[in-house]
Amino acid sequence: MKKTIKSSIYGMQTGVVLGLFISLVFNYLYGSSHYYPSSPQFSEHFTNPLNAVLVSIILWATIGLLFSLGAIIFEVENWSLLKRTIINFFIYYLGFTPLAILAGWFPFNIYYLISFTITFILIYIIMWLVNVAISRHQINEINKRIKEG
Amino acid sequence: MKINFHIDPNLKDEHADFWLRKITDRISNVTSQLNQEQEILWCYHDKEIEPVDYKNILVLQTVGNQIEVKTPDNIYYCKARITQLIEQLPSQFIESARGTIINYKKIDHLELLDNGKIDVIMINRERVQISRRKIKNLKEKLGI
Repeated sequence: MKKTIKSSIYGMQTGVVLGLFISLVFNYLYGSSHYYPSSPQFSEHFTNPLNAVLVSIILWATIGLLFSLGAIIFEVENWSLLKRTIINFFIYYLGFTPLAILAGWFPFNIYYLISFTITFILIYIIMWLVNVAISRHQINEINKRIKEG
Repeated sequence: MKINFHIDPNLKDEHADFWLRKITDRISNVTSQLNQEQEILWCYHDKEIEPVDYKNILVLQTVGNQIEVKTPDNIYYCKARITQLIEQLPSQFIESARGTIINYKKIDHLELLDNGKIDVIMINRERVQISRRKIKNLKEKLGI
């Protein structure tokens, strides 16, 4: 329980920091002189532009929370790695997609949805492989140190 | 209980003898505390009480409401709580999974299994589970 709370807080913090950083990068790239937390169309939904920032922050925190809690799936003992991966993937995809659309990151149409999905799958596969590589590296490090006595 | 102290600064070997009708948990606890300097865990083996040197212990595991204590040649049983033992045992003992303590100096190697889990293989070829969170702990102890 305490681990879950710690993970949740960490996830929300990371989500907000990343959201802020990435949105700033995009603002500079588009040569903006005012801060837009997402697309200009997104901010137009709000009478007060501050509300757009607030809602974005809430969504970033929620996305961070989703990714940190979803990772806990991998700790379930009785499930095979395949089952854990599949469930984790769907939690992320089904949770992240509506949040990204709500946050105004891409327009809600089939073309963007398909390219988003393909990108998401690619990044998921890369992250999964990176995690395997990190585990393997850690274990090799430990084994080496044990051998050295 | 009547308690007698025999104090002699010139005594070569300190020792305590207990005259009891039977071993109780309370006595086990008291002896554990006395043992902290002696590096011995008192355990059962075939209904007899035996001292087991810490440095020979490979793995301790909760089995029912007892602790199974494994050395290279033998299996002993101890009536204590795993949480008690974690506090009492010296630093080479770490919790590897729930209800399992291992002597990290007696690890042979770690293996990453196909199902994503990690096994610890002890020097007596025994396999013990280790959770990913405890791997971090192990790395720290090994100074990585």
